[in-house]
Amino acid sequence: MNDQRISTGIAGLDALLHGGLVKGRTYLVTGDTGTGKTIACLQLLQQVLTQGEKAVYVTVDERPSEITDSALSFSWNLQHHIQEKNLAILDASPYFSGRSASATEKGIDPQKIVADLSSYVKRLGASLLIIDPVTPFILPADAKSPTQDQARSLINLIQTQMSTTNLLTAHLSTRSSHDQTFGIEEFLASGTFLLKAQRAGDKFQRSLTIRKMRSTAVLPGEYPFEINSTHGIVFQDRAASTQTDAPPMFENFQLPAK
Amino acid sequence: MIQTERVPTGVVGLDTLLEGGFPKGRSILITGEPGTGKTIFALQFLHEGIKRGENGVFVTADESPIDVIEQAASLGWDFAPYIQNKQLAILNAAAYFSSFSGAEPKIDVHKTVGDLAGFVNQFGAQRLVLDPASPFVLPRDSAARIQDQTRSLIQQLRASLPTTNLLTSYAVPSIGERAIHGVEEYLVAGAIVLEMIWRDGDFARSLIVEKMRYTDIKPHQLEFDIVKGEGVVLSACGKTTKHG
Repeated sequence: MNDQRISTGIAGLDALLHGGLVKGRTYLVTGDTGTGKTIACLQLLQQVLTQGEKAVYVTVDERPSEITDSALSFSWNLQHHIQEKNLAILDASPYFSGRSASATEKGIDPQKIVADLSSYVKRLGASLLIIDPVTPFILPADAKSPTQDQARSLINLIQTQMSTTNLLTAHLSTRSSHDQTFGIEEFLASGTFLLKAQRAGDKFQRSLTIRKMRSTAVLPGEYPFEINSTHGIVFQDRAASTQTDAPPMFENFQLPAK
Repeated sequence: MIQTERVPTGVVGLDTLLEGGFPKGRSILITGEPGTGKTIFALQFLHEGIKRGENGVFVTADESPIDVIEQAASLGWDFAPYIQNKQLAILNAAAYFSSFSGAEPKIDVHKTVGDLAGFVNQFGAQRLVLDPASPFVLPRDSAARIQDQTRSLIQQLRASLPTTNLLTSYAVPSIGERAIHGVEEYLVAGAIVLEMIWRDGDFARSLIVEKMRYTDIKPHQLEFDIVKGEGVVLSACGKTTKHG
């Protein structure tokens, strides 16, 4: 059976992923502040819109106008897609800022969140859903750290109620040992990407690590990339070329089926 | 007093001499010509680990994983269940190196160890074998470069992996210098040389511990046999101490 793939819009990455993300699955992008999570989302978004597909982008930390502005800095005009009803940017921040009053008692109800999202997605006919970041949706009002139950049910609901390909982001501080992704990865059907910006000599080196990728023969590895103003995330030659004209350096041996 | 943690090699007799085994978390180099027993030593090292509940990763660059498993089987060790139970992983780098067919392989020690560390850490391995290690540090390039690469490989292994590492390398008699041996002498925590010697009108296998950090061992030649079910067994002490 052939998996249908959707291009991530990141050339070197698509090659690594044998074409892109598997359609209809859920993916997680984690990384510290400023590592490029939102840019990765926007790039996938732009790619999908360019293909004539529709998308829903849920933002929590930034306002929709900030999202469209940062897209515009890469010359990706989202405004146009919003007008054409190819894209809906949903601002969830009022919900969370109002939490102290009404939402505290109820906590966060994944059932309701997903039902609301699902109706938007269906009305628009979207094939891509981005939640950037997903973390607030799984943070119960009464606890400092999110619960695994909440994460599990949110992801299960997303997977069962929608046919979209889903990209979720979660902040992950490399400076703190506290893992804010608290195992979202475990429940995710399909894949996790970790973005990093590390000091290398006198400059920062950005890298993407594929931590998990179902249905795709890719070894976990760290791939350097750059962000430029015309293409967004661009994999550096070395990573892209070693991977395209050579097989992965290490191939995990599997016993032949009996 | 700070005691060096030891990792038993599984070689009967040798662990006693090494005060318990290899220094934990360090890299040990085994050199020897083809057929002297490097791979068997490496398999024994991993087998010993698995018996002790330590996961192992075997990176092969010359032989196919099937050959490695068959070689283990020929010694009476069934590695297939270990692979099934995720106690052992065999990573095949042969396809990578052969894909260059004559061209200089692209080797980036940083990326190699990064990829490896990603896998090894996820796998929870405590023992790692690179058999042989030479392809990872041997571009067709100057000797100085090799030395840099080797130093970098060993330092990176230590920095990014918790494993005790066994690296193998060919001895190259024609050049009079072992392929990457001589370079590692001061980089690795231990160096063991395997040789075939001519003795009493017959070949005998021998093992010399040339260097072992934190260990009071004088270099001397130890004879050994390869015994089915036991692997490498030192001739002098093997048969008497193996049940002790």
